[in-house]
Amino acid sequence: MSQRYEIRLSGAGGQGLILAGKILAEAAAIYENKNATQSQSYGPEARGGASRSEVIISDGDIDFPKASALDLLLCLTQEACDKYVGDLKADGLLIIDSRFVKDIPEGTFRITRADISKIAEEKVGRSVVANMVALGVIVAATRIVLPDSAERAISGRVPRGTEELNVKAFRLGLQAVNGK
Amino acid sequence: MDEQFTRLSRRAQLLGTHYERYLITAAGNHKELVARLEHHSKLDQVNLWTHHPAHDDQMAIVRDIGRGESEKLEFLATYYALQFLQMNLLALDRLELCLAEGERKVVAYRTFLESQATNYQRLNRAYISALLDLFLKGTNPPRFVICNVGTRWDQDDVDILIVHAEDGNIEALNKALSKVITEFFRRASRLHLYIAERAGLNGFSATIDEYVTSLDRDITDFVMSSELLAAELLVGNVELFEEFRKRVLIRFFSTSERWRRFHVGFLRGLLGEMHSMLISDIREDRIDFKSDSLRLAKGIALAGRVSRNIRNEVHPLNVLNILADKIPSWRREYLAMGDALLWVEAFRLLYQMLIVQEEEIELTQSDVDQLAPIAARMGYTSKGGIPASSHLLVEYYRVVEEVRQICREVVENMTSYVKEKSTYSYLTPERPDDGRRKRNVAHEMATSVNRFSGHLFFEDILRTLKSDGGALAGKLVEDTMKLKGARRKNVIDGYLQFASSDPTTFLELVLTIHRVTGAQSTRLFARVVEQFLDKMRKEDGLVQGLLGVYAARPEVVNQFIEVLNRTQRQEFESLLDQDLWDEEQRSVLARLKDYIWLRTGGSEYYRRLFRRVVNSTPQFIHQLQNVERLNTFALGYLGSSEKGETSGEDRIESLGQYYDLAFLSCAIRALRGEPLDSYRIPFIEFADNYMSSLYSECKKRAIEETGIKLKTKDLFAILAAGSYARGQAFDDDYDFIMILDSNNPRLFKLLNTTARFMHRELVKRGTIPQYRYADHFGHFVTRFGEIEGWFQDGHADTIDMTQILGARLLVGSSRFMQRFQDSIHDRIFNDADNFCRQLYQEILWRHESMTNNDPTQVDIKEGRGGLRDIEQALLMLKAKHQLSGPLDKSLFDLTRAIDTKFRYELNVLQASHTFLRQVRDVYRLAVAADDCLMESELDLVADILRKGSGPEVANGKELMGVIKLRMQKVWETVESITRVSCKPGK
Repeated sequence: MSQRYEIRLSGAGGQGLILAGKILAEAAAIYENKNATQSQSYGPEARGGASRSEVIISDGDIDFPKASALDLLLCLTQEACDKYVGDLKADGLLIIDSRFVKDIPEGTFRITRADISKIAEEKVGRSVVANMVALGVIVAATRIVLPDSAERAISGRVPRGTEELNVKAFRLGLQAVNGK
Repeated sequence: MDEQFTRLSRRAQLLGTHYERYLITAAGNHKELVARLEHHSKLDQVNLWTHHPAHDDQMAIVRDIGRGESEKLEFLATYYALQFLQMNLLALDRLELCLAEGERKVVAYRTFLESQATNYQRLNRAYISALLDLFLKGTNPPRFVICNVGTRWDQDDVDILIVHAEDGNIEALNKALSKVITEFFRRASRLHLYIAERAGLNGFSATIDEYVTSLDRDITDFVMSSELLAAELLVGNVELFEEFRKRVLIRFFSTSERWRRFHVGFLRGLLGEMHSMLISDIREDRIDFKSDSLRLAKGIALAGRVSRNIRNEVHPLNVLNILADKIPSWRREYLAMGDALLWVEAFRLLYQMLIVQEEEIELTQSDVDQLAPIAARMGYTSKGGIPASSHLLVEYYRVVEEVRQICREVVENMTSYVKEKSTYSYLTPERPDDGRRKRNVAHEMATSVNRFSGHLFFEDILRTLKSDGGALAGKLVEDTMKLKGARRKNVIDGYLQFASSDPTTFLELVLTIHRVTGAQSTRLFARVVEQFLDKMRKEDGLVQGLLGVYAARPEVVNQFIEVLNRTQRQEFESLLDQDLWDEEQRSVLARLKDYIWLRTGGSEYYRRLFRRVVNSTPQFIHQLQNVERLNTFALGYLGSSEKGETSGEDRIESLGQYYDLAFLSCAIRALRGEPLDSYRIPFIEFADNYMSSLYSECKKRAIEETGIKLKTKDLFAILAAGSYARGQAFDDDYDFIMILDSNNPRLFKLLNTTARFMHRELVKRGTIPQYRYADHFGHFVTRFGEIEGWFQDGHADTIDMTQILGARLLVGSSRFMQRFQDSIHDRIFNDADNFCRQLYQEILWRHESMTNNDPTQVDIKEGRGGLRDIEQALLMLKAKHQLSGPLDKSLFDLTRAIDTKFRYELNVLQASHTFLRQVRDVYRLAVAADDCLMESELDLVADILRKGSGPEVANGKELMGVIKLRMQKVWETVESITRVSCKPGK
C-alpha cells in the first residue's frame, strides 16, 4: 500500500455508503492501527442523486483530509460513475455494480465489475446489505485492510445475532472477486 | 513445697490455657516426687522449682527413683512439666529484661527465640532419651537417630524423623518408639512423623536406603524434602546421622552434576510453592503466620542454602546471615529478611505462649484486643491515642510486605538460576543445539510435571516459551500433537495438573498455546479448554484457585477470558456460579462475575474501549465497580499529562489514558441506568478537557516539526460541531470546525500540522473525527475568509448553516467566537425565516429518504420525531430569536423564557430529548453502535433502564412502544412549532 490511499464510495442516497465508509475507516484505524479519515456528504447533496463517502487510509500521518486523487472509486449507480470517475487516478481502480453501471468512460484506470446488488438480493436475500457486499469486493480487490479487521468492524456496528447476515454479505463480496 | 507449686501455678496463669495440662500433671505427682527424692537424699540434685539445663542427669535420677515403669513415667512427666513451665516463664522474664535494658527489639527477640529453642530442644532430648532408656532396656536395638526436622519452639507438635541401621532388633526399636510417641503425646506434645507417613514406611523409622528410594520415587514432595534438609540430631548415633546427611541430602545441593535433576526439581517445588503464595494476596480478615510470611522467608533461606551449598547450617535465621555474607549484592535483602523472620517468629511464639497454640488470628475486635499483652511483651506501648496492639499490627503488615517484596525479588533472581541449571536448558535459544532438540519436548515436560505433587515452579520455562518469537511454544504444540492416544492425553493431563496446583501457571500456559498460530494450536487450545472446563465441573477447589489468580493477577484472567469463544465463556461463567462459604472469596467471585459482564457484555463499541483500558492498565480491573475511583485515576493521568518534566510523548500517552478511563467511567454509569446528566455532563467535560490539552501538546509537537514558532493570539479557534457540540455522549465521532482568521501561510501550516497530530491521537482513541468544511476546502483548518466567502456566495446549504449555528467553542477566545458569530450568524439570523423554511424542508426530505416499513425498528436519531428533529426545531427557534450558545439545557431555558407561547412544546421536547438520548446511549453501549433500534434487542436496554432511572417497562417490546409514542409526540410538537415559525416564503 502507498503511504496514502484515497477511497470514494459513491451511489444513490440510502445505499448505506456512509456506514460502509465508517466501517472501512474503523477497520483500518481501530483494528490495524493505521491512520484514517472519513467524511460523507450531507443534506441536499445526499437526497437522491449521487451520494458519497470518502475514506483516506495511511500508514503515516494524513496531511490533507480531502480525497482529490482517488486510488479507488466505488460506483453503485451510473450517475455516480459519470460524476466522479474524473477524480480517479490514471492507475486507480474503478469498482462498479455491473447491474447499474453500463457505460464506463474511457481511461487508463483498472476496472473491477461485480454483481453487488444482485448478490445482495439473490444470495443474501436482502438488498439493504449491498453496501456490505461492496465492502467485500473492495477488500478483496485491494487488500487495503484484512478481511478479519473488516469483519470485526462490521460486528462493532450491528447488534449481536445480526452480524451473521452482514458478515455473510461481506464474505460473498470477497468471494465475488477471489473466485475469479 | 506446696507453696512452690502454688506460686508456680499462679505465675503460669499468664500463659495460655493449653499449659493447664502441665499443671495438672505436676499437681498430681509433685508431692510424691519430692518425697521420693528426699527419701533417696537426692532432692538437692534435681531442680524442680527453678529452670536448670542439666536435664539429662536430673531425668536419670528422677527415672531411677521410681518404682515400676508406671511410677517412673509419672515422675519423668512431672519433672518435664515443671521444667517446661519454668522454661517458658523464664524466657518471658528475660525478654522483658532485655527490652527494659534498652536492647534493640530485634536483638532482644533473637536472644529470646534462640534461648527458647535451645532450652526446648534440650528438654525434649532429655525426656525422649530417658523414655527410650526405659523402653529399650534389655533389648538389642539397632543404631538409630531421632532428628528434629521442624520448628525448634513449642508449637502443637514436634516434627521428627527417625533413621535406623540394620544392625539390631528393629522390632524392639519400633515397639519402644511407639511407647515413646504415646507417652510423649500424653505428657508433652505430639511427635509428628510426616516423612514416615509420606514415604509409606512400615514403622516409625527407616534405613538410609529406604529414604533414598523414597526420594527417588517422588522427586518433590517438597515438604518431605524440606524436612529432610532441616534434620538436626536430637537423640541417637552421631555417625549414623552423618552418614544419613551425606547420602540423602547431597542430592539437594548444587555441586553435583549427577544430582542436577534432583537439585533443580527440588527448587522447582520450593519456588513453585512460594510463587503460588506470592500470587495470592494476604487475607484481610485474619493473620496467617505461615502463609503471610513465614513459609516465604524460610523458603528463601532454603533456596539460598541449596543453591549456595550451605550444608551444615539448618536454621533459617543463621542461613540468612550466611547468605548475606556470601552474596554481598544481596546483603541488605537477606539481613532484612532475617530481621523480619525474627520479628514474626517472636510474635507467633508469644501468641502461642500467651493466648493459644494456633497459626491464625482472626481480626475481630475481641481477637485484636487479646493482642495487648503480646504487644507489651514485644516492647510496644500505646502512643498518640493509638493502642499498642494497633502499633503491633501495623508493624506486622509492614514486615509481611517487606518479606513478600524481598521474596518477589529473590524468586525473580532465582528464575534465571533455575533456567541455567534446568534440564530443559538445551531448549533455550542461546544454547547450541547438541541434537537433543529433536526430542519430544511435550512428552519430556509432561513426564516431569506428572511426577510432581504440589506446586511446581515453571516461570523459567514459561518465559522461554514466550520469548524467541514463540519458537519453543510452537515446538511444544507441534510435539504435543505428534503424540497419539494415551501419550497425548498424558501430556494434556500434565498441563491440566497446573490448574489445581498453580492456576496462574495454567492460564499462562494456555495463553501461550493460544498465541501459537496455526490449526494445530487452535485444536490443542480447544481441547485443553474443554478438559479444563470438565475439570472445573468435577473437581472442588478450582474456582477458589481462579479467584486467587483474579485477586492478584487480574490481567491474566482478563487475557484468558478474552481468548475464549462465546460458548466456552458462557460455560466458564456458569461454572463459576458456586456457593462459597468463605465471605472474602464470595466477594471476589461477585467482582469477577461483574467484571466478566462488563468485559463481554455490551456492544462491540463499548467492549472495544473496555478491552483497551483493561489491556493497557490491568491495575484498574479491580476498580471497575467504583466509577468514582476510576474517575479519580483518570484525573491522575490528566495531572501527569500536565507535568512539564515528562516528555511530550509521555504526556500525550497520559492524556490518552485519561480519556479512556474517563470514558469508561461514564459508560459504566450509563450501563447501570444512571440518569442522563450523571454521565453526559462528565463525558462532555472530559472530552473538552482532552481536546484542549491535546491541542496544546500537538501544537508543541507541530512547532518542533515545522520550526514555526508563531503565536496564534486570537486568530484560531476549534469549535465542537454536530452532536458533540450538543453535548451528546458516546457518539461515533467528534465533529470539529477549525477556523483560522489569518492568511499567513506559515501559521496555516503550523495549525494544519497541529490538527494532523490531533487526528492521529484521536484515531488511537477509537474515533475518527470529522472536519466540517474540510470537504469543501480540503484542509483540516479552514480560513475565516473561506467560510465567509462560502456563505456569501450562496454555497452554504442548510447543513452548513446548522453546523455553524450549533457550534461550541473548545479552543480559542470568546472574542474570536463573538467575531465569528457576528459575521456568520448574522447571515443566518438576518434571513431566519428562509433558514427555518429550508430547515423544515430538510426535515421532510430526511424523513422521506428514511422510510421504514419494519415496525420492529426505529431510527431514534434520524427518524420522524427523533433526536435530529428536536435539535433542528430548536435551531429554528434559535435563529428566529437570534440566540447564541450551544444546543443544551440552557438554550431550552432561554428559549422558554423568551418565547412563552412555546413553553409547553419546549417542555415536551426537552423531556423527550433527555429520554431518547438516554435510550440511544444505553443501546449504543449495551447492544450496538447503531441509531436504528431493533425491538428484538431492546430487552437488555429495558432491563438497564428499569433498574436505573428509566421507565418502568417490562421488556423490549414495551420499551419500543414507549419510544414510538414519544417520537410521535415529538413530531406533533415539532410540527406545531414549525407551523408558527416557518412563515411561507415570499
